[in-house]
Amino acid sequence: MTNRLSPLVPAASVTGFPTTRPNRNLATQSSPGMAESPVARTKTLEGRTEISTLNTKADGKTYEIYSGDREWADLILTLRTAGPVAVGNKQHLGAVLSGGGEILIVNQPRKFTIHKGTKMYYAASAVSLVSVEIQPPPWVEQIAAGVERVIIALTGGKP
Amino acid sequence: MSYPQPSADQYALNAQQAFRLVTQMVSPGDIYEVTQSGYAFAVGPDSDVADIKITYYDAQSAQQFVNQVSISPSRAFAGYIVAQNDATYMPANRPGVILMWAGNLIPSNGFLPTGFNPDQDRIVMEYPILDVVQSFQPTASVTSSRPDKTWFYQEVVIGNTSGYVLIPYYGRKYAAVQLDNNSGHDVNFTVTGINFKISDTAPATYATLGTALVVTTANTMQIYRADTVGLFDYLMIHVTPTVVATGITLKVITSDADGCAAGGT
Repeated sequence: MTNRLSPLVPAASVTGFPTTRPNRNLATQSSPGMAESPVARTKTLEGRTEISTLNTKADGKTYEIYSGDREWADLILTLRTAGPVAVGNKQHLGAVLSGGGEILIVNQPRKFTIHKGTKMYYAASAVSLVSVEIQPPPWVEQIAAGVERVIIALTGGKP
Repeated sequence: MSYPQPSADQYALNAQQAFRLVTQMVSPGDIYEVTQSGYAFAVGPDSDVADIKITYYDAQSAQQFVNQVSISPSRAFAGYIVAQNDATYMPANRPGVILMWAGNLIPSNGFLPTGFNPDQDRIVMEYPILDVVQSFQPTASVTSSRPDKTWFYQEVVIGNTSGYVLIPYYGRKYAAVQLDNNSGHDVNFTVTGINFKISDTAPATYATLGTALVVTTANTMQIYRADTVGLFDYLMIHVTPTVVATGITLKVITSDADGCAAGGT
């Protein structure tokens, strides 16, 4: 997990906790309607990939998956059980099968490329497993590497 | 019914690809709730119940939003049924979970056959097992079939005047009943098919399938096929020694196959 953008990143963020972890609270242990505060926020370009499993709640209400804190991110969601689970960027997706979100298909990864500030939400009517992968788009890495080369050229390799 | 009933959610959270509901039924009113959606439903291998109803929420079904599918040992269901926990059945106003229950008539708890004398007779009542397998993954087809089931009793009478053994026979098409008599006395034994009714005054219909007198140290094997004797909810084996005795052993094998050779009758 080497952060290749370290010259541009404030020290406090580099040493902090992972920033874009999804809401992983167990559906069976949570009271309906109580979406927990998902994560701390960061203001940096994020070069790491984060992988986790989301256990959805089953009350049909809308909960946050991704807080939109990265400049750009690829959010890849894969439904592992029978669902149904709807995802989208509306804060209120409505009923799961209402069309307010996109229904995930079992075992078919769905990738969303998301700009900073766009949050992603889910609604489910059954407790479900969703694999969550948050990663930088490939072109972010290329741009970052280019910037890094420029900085090195300007500073002579000194930090 | 087992209580609390198993939760399909735990199977999903544990990344298992299917939920299997296996429970013994002791009441005709046992209904099980499943909060997980399913891509296929099949009768499990240990099921005595042959007709299993899957009831689910269907918004297009008029008034009550309920629809239903039946599965049996010869017919599974491959299709997506959604557990809509966020919707409600009307007018009950209950969550739109999937409901599973037995379509066969289950004997009520404490059922006693006609002729049973609690002061003199012994009874073994086998309550049926409900076994359903629900897949969380899409599947093109499902085959549900039950293996043969063997029931074995080392002692049937154990010093009583007579002994009754009642075995679930839902959907079975073949039974082989073997009695071994090592009691030192002759034994009468009768095999009866029972069909239950939804009635308090006439709770069951009895059909005698066969009788035999088994002399001491002898044994007998009785074969019953559905194409000759019919279908029944239960088989009842009644064993009556001429003298109160022990040493009477019973073995019953039930099968979904008809027991005929290919092309035979």
